[in-house]
Amino acid sequence: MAKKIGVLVRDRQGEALRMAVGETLMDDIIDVYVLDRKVEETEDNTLNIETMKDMEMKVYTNYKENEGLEYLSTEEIALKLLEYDHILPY
Amino acid sequence: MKILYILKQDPDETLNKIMEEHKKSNEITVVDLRENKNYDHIVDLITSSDKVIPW
Amino acid sequence: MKLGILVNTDKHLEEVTGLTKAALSKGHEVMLFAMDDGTRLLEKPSYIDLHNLQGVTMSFCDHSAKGLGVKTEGVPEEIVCGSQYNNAGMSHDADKMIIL
Repeated sequence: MAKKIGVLVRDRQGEALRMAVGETLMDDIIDVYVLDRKVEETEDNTLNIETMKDMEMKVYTNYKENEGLEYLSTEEIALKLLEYDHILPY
Repeated sequence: MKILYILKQDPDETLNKIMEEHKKSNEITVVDLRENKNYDHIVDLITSSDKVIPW
Repeated sequence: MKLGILVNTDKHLEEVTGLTKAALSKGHEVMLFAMDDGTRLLEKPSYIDLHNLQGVTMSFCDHSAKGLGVKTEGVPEEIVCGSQYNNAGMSHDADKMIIL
């Protein structure tokens, strides 16, 4: 049975986003939350977020300046976290 | 729901907000790994919690 | 219980070994995957030695280790030199996950 996993992207965005894409390899459901800061515009980050969108993964953020990501307040994110089998803050 | 937070650092503003929200309708437990070295007990807490949030 | 431990820093070796041994003593299984700075622990004998314990499986992200110049030549073959696929497998199989 597919697991539902929430990946929280904090300060080490590059590795967190790389891991989040990798977590899809067992066909589990992976949602991503970019917390507290703008996604650094690196080639890898851009590619990983594009890949997530191509795979129709949900990518949320509590940081309004992250254009193209769905904004949720931290309180809303807190409630959504309870839906996951694993919560992985990176 | 039982929620276990396993801290490796001081909680930041975001985690404080998350914990406040969870407290409203859940039973929360906080373990600070910098102080608590009772690994047997921590494993029991991990086993008995519905959600584990390392931070 | 199957406990998954994602080791993504080299700051918590004592906690990794302590929690692994405590979980094993209670009859649980432990899976360890090292990536990012966590692969630096592959140079620490006390981390490597965990693979000898019954009920432990270990793997690491070769991409991370290579990128950080971690010496992996002496890592026993039982510790799988892998990729994010191994991490995904751990998350899929684990009942509970922690990150250290």
